[in-house]
Amino acid sequence: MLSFQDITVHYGELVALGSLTLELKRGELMTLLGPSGCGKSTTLRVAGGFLLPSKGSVFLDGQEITNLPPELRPTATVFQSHALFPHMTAGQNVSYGLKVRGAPRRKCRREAEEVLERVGLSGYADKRVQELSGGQQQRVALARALILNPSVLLMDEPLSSLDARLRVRMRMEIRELQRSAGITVLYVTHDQEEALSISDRVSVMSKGRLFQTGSPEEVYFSPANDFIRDFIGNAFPVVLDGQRQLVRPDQVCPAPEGAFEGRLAGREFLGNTVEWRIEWKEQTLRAVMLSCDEALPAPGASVRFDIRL
Amino acid sequence: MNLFKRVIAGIVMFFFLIPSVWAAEKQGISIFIAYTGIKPILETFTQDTGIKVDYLEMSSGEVLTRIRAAKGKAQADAWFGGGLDSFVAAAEEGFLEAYVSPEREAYDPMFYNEEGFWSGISLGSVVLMGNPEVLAAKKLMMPESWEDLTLPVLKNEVLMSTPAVSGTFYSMVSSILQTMGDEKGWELLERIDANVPYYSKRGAEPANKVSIGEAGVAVAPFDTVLRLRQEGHKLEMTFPKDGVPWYIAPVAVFKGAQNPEGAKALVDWVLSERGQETLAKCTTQAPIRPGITLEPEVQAMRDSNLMKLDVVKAGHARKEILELWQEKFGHK
Amino acid sequence: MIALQKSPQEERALSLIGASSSRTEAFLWFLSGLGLILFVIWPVGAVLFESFLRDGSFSLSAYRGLFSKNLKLIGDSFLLAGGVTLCTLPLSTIIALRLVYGPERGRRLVIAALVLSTISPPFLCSMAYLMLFGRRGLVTWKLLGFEWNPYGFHGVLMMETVSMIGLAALLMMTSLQRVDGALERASLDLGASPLQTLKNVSLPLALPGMAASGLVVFIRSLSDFGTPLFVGGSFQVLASRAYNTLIGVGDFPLACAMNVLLILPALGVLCLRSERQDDNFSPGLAEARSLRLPSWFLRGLDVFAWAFVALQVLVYGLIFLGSVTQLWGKDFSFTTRHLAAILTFRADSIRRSLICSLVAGMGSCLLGVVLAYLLDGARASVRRVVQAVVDLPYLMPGTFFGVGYLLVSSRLPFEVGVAFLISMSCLFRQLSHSLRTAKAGLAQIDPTLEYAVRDLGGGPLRVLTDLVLPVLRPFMRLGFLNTFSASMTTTGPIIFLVSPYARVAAIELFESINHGDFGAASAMGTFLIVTVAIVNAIAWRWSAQSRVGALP
Repeated sequence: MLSFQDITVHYGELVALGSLTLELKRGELMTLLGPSGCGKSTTLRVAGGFLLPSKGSVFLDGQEITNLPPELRPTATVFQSHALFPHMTAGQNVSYGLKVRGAPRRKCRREAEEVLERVGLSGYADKRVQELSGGQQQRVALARALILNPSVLLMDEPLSSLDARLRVRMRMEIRELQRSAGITVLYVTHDQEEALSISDRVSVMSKGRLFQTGSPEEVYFSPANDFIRDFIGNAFPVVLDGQRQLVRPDQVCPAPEGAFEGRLAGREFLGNTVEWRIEWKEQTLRAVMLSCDEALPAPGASVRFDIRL
Repeated sequence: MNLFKRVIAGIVMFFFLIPSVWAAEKQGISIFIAYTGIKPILETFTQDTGIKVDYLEMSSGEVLTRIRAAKGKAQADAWFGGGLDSFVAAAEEGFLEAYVSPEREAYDPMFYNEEGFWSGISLGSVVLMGNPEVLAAKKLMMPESWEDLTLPVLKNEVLMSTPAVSGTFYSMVSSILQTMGDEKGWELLERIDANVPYYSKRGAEPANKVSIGEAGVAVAPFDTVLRLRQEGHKLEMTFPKDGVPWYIAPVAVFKGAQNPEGAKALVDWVLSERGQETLAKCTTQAPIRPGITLEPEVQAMRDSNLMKLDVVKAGHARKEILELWQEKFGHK
Repeated sequence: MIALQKSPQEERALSLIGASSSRTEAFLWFLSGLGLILFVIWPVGAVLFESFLRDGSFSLSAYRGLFSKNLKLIGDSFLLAGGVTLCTLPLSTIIALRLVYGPERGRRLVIAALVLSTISPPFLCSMAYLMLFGRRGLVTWKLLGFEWNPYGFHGVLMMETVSMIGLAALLMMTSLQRVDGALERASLDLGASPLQTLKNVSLPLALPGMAASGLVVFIRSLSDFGTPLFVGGSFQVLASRAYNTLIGVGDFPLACAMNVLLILPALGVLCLRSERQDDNFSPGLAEARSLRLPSWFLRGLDVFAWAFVALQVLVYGLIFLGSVTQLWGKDFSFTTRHLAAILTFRADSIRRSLICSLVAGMGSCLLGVVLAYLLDGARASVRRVVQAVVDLPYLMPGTFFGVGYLLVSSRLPFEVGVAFLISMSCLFRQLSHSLRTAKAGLAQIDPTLEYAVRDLGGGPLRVLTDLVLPVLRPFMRLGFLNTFSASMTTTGPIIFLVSPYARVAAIELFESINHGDFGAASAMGTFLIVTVAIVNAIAWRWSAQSRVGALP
């Protein structure tokens, strides 16, 4: 339903986005994933109408919206810093979109309360936004965008200002809301775990180019190139049988009967998982396994392992 | 550190620069002035006596306020020109030094203070000044008497200052009251008032505003009119037929002057023949010393029908007159 | 993110010298406290004290009926100040909007006109306005052919409004620039039109800044006596009446008592407003905004902005032309005599003006920073009292502040240099502004930055030189320039301080105006304007260079 055709954006000499073509399907949550400066936020700004592309067109349900100003687009954005109006209450923030469309005050109020309830903030309508915690502010920002029933919800690293636990919880909530309401979402993040866990499809970008679009499993297990293999799977290069290959830590499996033998050079305990550094033929490999599966060898001991390509 | 050093260097540089300004050189004498054409007069004085002069122009009201604020501590050595009333007040409050100049024998006693607190040096008068362009545009005649100023056609075209701030206008008011008597005098002033849009709060303003055409007629000091004419303004002037008010410009030495000898030398010089001749050349007031040749224009002023006045009495009556005036016209 | 910032009171921005700070701080308190007592409290107190002295003995006669007799004056004063504020705010908002949201082209010119209008030499601009728009004005009479009477309430209102627009618009521009662009984008995204966004988001967020500049305008208008004297005609206000009572009537106690009527309400208004609104200055140029206002709207803004520019071009053009014309209005032939006269006869006054203004400017921006730093860590009550003391000289008409200096200095057993008195009076009269700017600057310094400097091995001095001064530099520059410009052109506070052997340029100008000598006055005025402009340029240049130099 939302599609980008050959979008190019220049900032002076710099090419921020080079001939991007991308299509969102109705009701899906698509993530734009990539390191900072890859052009994912630029794409979002083009979608929201904050940025005019130097070239190319944007279509929504077949209608061209390339030059439509933001206020006329049926899109709504959840901004990275939330961008809540500090001079309004939570309720006023949420109903702002209705107010500027001339909705009567009572309707604004009622709908704001409804949406706030949906995001788990019933009773917070009269709070000043400064009084809310980070997670609550995040929910208000989400509610403010949802109240308009946008055709496409644009989310620009919405969770980046939250702590790790809250981030995990919020992304689950967002995903549930999106699924139950069937909203189409374009979601921008640089966090691969977040992208994999929340998305129907993931688009990986780098340096203004789109490299691969596919389900989380596709991009993880069948990366289109080394960049994605590295960025998504933390892959590292290994020379195997005279050939240079990128290997993910979860492909290196310690096993008593393993085909290779190396020396345990280091161990990093991560809670539920544990990572080993194994020296093998003057190369350092990384292996990751569940902590409960780990057989604890002494540091410097020789270990056997398989590589499952 | 770059900026820090620069800031320090700047501050240090400053304190080197400052002393030259801080300690202003005080050679010669310093005087407060309210007198037109003062520059060449003082240059001649310095030539004749070798005494350097620094001066500052201030209205006599400002000078008086200043000495009062300083509780009589001398702010300058001498006081040259300004409203006699301020000199009278300053003498009464003890701000002036009594000095009887040997030169004053040549003068009529009505022009100096008996104890020597002040001496009159020249005589100025109050005249009517008109802007011919404005008058022509409005098809108005140039008024020729105080009575003319009351003509209804001149409504809003007559500019005057509050007598409280201007010696000139004070002398106009007090002269009219003295010669016509209080009752008739106030009545005339009230009728003139009907044509005055507002009273300027600065003495020099009526003449300046009329010279740029902001109104048709101003009551102005004679010497101001001549000066504005010399600068190139086209202006009409009449001596009021029903009597020309006049005033004297005094000179005085401040009590506690840093250079009293220099100040007294100035008084002597300005009262002397040489000084009075210099005044005759450089100003358009009439020097008082008898036997001084005047410029024809100034002679004409001297010959106009000057009112019969006791200027000292006028100086004393100031408070009373101003209070009445304030009551009648203070709202404008 | 404005919403999420901690208010500056919650966490002290800086603890400059850390644990060993108490002695340094106490010393700074001592110094600045002494300065305020000597140069503000004492002179202002002396003026107020005079109001209780009638013929040398204690008397309340000046206060008897002070309020009831002056009821109309009080009403008129506040009516005028309120009117000027009400007229200035919308007009300056329009120009500020043009600057922030309008096209880049011409922006610098409009800013230049605004800055120029804030450097107005005393009385000369009023004179130029009269020559252009007076009863026989060049524009109103010669060009348009109508005669009107500019004297009265309406004249004062218009002239004060025109003279305050520049400052108000510059203040307003900075507060509009500080509005977070993300919030405007959010509003657009939620479907608000650009104009709705302006009305619902940008303007409300800039409101504290607007209130602050409104207050500045209000107080300036309240204490301005020159304009009512010049074009008020029969309309007078407290400030001008107090001036007349002092100079004309010579009633010292009454004139001093009238100041109380001015100071008290102004202080009241100042205290009412919350402290948080103070930090609304921010130097620097606007980032491009994604809020694209409709072109018809921008064109409307443009009309106002360019009308203002045209007005300034007319007024300052007249002044510049007047300085090279034999006699304006009569003999238009070219001459350099006025300008030459300045350099030959007035060089000493000019030198003194420059040095006094530089001292006042530097002193006021340094003291502003020191006070801002000290107040940052002080208790709320102390902060309020000190702030009120600093505001005092700004609230009273300049003449009376000068009289205070005269009262004090003449009581001293030793002679105090005239230039020193002039410098100090200008320094402390403008301190209020410098303090506010410095406070705004200090609020921008994140306390963790100080920890970073200390953590990386920098001593307290390093914190000052590497962090505080560089961050504060633009704010200090603002404070310096304001004080410098004001000192170069002020007459009120120094008219009783200058002496025959220590004159300054503004007084020369004042004398020329009194003589009706427009040529000499405009020559001096031109000189003052050019000087202030050059110093402005140097200050911007200098700080721009140091910024580049500071980068590794």
